[in-house]
Amino acid sequence: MGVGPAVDKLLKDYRGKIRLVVKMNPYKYRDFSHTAAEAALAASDQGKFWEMHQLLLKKSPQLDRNSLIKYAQESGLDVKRFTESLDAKKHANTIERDKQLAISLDLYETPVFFINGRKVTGNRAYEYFKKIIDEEIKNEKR
Amino acid sequence: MKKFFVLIILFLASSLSFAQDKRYEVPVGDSPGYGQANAPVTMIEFIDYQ
Repeated sequence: MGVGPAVDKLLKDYRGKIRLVVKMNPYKYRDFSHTAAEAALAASDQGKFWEMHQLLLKKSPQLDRNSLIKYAQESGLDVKRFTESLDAKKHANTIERDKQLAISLDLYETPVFFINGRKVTGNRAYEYFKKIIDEEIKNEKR
Repeated sequence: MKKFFVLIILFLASSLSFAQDKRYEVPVGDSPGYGQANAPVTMIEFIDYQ
């Protein structure tokens, strides 16, 4: 399950105030969850994580290998390098590390957010995130 | 009496906000993301693209 437009709007409205960090928590019984995570990290290797991340969220659940290669083209990636990385599962260790982290935090669904460590589960409305973020910015200034 | 109720309500409100305030230690590591590292708010997101 991808992430709703709330996060996009937050990043725009709070430009310079929010850093978003993405951890992979692909569900093992879904066909393309792992491959899509590999695709995002392969794009990250080429400095295009954000472009690929947005495309994956937009195009989900169409995340089969051929589609991912098409998205790599659209993102302006070196497609050969991207495909090699994808097929070799180059980032399997990173994905496994993120999954173990998720287990240690007792996360069994996606998405889950930690806003300066404060846990928010599920795709919430813009206002829900906004309230927490405003509190955090206020605390920072204190 | 009224003062007493106000105090109770204030106590309940503050304990509720403390409950929400639990903070987890989540390492950023070398995970990809967007935005400046020195931003006041760090949002770590665990996702599944499918």
